[in-house]
Amino acid sequence: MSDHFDSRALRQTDCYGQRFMKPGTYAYAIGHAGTAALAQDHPYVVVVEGDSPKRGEMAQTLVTVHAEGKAFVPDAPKVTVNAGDMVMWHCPDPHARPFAVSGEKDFFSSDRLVNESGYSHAFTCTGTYEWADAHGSGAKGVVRVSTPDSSSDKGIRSWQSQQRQGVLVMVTDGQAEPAEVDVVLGQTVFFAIVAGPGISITDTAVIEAERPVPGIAFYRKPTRGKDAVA
Amino acid sequence: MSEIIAAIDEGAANDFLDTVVAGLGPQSTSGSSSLGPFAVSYSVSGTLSNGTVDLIPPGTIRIADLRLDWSASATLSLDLGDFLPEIHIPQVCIDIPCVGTVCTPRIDITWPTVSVPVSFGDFVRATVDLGLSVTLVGGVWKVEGIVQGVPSLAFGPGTAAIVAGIGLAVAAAVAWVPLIGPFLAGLAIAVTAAIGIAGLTGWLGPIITPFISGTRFPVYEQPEWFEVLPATSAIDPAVSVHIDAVGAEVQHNAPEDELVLSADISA
Amino acid sequence: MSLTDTSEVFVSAEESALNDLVTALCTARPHLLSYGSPAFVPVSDVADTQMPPILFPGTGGIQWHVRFSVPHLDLYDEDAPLPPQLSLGPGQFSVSTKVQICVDCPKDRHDPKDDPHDPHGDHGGDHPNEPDDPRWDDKPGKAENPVCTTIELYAVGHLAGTTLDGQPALGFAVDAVELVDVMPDDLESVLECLIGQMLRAVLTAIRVPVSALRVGAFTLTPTVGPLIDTDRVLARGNL
Repeated sequence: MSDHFDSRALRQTDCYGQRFMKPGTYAYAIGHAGTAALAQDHPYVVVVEGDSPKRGEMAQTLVTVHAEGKAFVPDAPKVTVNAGDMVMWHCPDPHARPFAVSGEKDFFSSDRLVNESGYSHAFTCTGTYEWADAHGSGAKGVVRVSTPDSSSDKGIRSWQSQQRQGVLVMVTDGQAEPAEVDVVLGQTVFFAIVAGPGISITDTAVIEAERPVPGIAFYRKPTRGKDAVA
Repeated sequence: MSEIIAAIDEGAANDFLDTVVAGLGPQSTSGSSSLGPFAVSYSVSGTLSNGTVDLIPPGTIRIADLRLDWSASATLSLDLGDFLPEIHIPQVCIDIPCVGTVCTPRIDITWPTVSVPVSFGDFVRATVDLGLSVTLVGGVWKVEGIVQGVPSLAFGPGTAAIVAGIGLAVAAAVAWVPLIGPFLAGLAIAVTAAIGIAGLTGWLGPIITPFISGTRFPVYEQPEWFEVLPATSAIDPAVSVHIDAVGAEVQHNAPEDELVLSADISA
Repeated sequence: MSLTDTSEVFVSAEESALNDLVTALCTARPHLLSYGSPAFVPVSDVADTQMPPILFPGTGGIQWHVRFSVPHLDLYDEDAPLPPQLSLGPGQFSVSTKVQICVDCPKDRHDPKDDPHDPHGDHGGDHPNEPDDPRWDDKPGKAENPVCTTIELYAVGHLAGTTLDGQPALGFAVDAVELVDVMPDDLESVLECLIGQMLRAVLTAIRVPVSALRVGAFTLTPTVGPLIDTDRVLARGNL
C-alpha cells in the first residue's frame, strides 16, 4: 500500500495555506491539478485589509472546496482577511479529483509554493516516503510512517493522541529542516515554506512516474534548418 | 414375460454407477445473491462421486454418501463502513516560529466499498433415492435414475476453514485502504462472524443442491432401432432390430436385490 | 434363486428374440443363405454369394444354386414338432428351414422346341420347376434351363461359443439332419449328407453377438454360457 502525496495535486488529506502580507484583492481560480495555472478566469477573491501584519498574531481562515461536476467551488467565493493572515484551502470529499489553487499573482499558487505558504499532508499508509521538489530546486526529505500499536486500549489511546500532534518541516531555499521525520499512521506533517523560488512537496514516486518513457516522444514537424521535412 | 432380460446384482450396480457418475462430468452455475451481509457474485462448479448403492424393490436405487466436490469463485462486495467505526484525522495545530499557529481541519475518513475475490472449495455428502424412469423420446430409449425429493447436504469439516479463509482474503484485499492497518485484524473477525458457518452453508446449499437433485443418472440409452451388427462392406449392411418396449425395476430375487432391465424386440 | 446367481450380471433372450435376431441378420444379409454358380449368381452381392460351377468332364461346368429359407430355431424344450428320427435334448436347439436346389440343364444337344412331346419344351407355358424369381430371367449369363426342387429340412444342434469382430458371439453347431419325404432311403441319406454339410456351413456364417442378447444394457464378460435353458439362451458373468 502507498500514499502518494503531491502539493501540486491536492486531495482530501492535503491542505494548502497561503499567507497574505499586503492589503489588496487577490483573485484566484480552483482547477484540476496540472491545468489550474492555465485558467483565464479567476472568479474567486481573497480581500486583504488592514496594515502590515503584526508579528505572532496570524489569524487563519479555512476555505472548504467542493467538487461540483467538473468544477471546484469554494464555500465562500470571497473571503476577507487582515494582512498577515493565512487562508487555507481544503477539500473534504474523498472522491474529488486532485485540484490546485492558482492566483493571478505569481506568489499565490499551490503548484509553486513560495514564501509564507504551506502544505500539509496526513499520512494514511505506513511506509517510508521520500519527497522532493518536482520543480528542481533540490529541496528534499524523508517521512517515515510507522504502524501504531492497536493491540490494546492504551495503544489506541496513544495513537489517537499522536494523531493530534502535527510535525513541522520548514523549507528554506531548498533545504528542509528537519530533512527526515518519523510519524505514526494518520499523523499530519506541515511543510512551511519560509523562502524559496516556488517549489513543490512531491513524493519522489510521483516524480519518477512523470518522467517521459524512453522511445516515446511527441512528433513536431521541423519547419526549417537541416531537420526540415522536404 | 419380456423377451430379453438383463440384470445386475447390488455389487455390480455399485460398480456400474461408479462408471455412470464418473461419466457425468462437472456441472457449473453462476449468479449473484447475498452471503451474510455481502452482495456476492459467484460461479460454482461441482463433480459427483458415487457412494454406496442399495437396491430397494420395486423401483428405488439408494445411493448413500454420494459425494459432491465443489469449488466456488466469488466476488464479495464489502462496505467497510458496515464493519469499521467512523474515524477521522483530528484537527492538528502547529506552531510556526515567528509566524503563529496553523491549524488543519479535521478530516473525516469514509470507508470505501471494496470488491473482494475469493476462491474456495470443499465437498458435501448426501444420500439420495433414485426412481427409475423409462422414456422413448426422439427414437431413443432411455432408462434413468432420477433423484426423488431434495436431498439434505452434509457439509464437510472444511466449511469452518473456508469461513476463516474468507476473512483472511478480505483482510488481504483491503490492505490498500487508507488507515485500515490497525483495523485489519478486527475486520477479519467481524467478517468471519458476519458470515458464520451457517451463513456459508445456507448460501451454498441452494446453489449446489441442484447439482444433485437435478441430476439424471443414465442407466440405459439405446436407439429404438438397435444395431446388432455394423455395416462392414457393401454386401454386409448393418443389421438392426427394433426395440418395441423397455422396462426397468428393482426385483428381490432371494437372496439378492437386482436391477432388472427388460426389452421386447422385433426383426 | 437370483437371476445373477453367483455372478454379477445375468442376460437372457427368449427363443422368439433369438429368432428375431436371426431373421434380422438373414433379412439384411440374404447372401448368407444363397449360393450359386455364375449362371445363377453372376456376381456376389447382398442377395447372393457367387461360387464356382461343379466341374465335370464334358459339361463345361455344372451350374447350380442353393438357397435356404430363414431358419427357425426352437430351443429346448420342444415346441415345434420334429420328425421322429430327431429328438431335442436339454441344451439343444432345433432348426427348421427349406432348401431350394437348382441346376441348369442346357438344351444345346437337344432342342426341345423341335420336339412337341418334350415336356421341357417352350410351348408358351411355365416351366413346372422354374422359380418365380424374375431375376433368373433378367441376369446376364442366366441359366438356360433351370430345374429346381425344394426340400424341407430339420436339424438339431447345440450352441457354440465363438467370436465376431473380436467380441463374444453365439454360434450354431449342427448335430443331426433329417430331410422330409425323400424316397428312396438311399437317396435321402445322400441328400442328408450333402445338405447337412451345406447347412453346417451356412450356420457357421450366422453368428449373433452376445451384446445383442442384452440389447446394449450394461456390459457382460461371460463366465457362464451362453447356454440353452428352457426356451431361452442365458449367460452370466461380470461387468
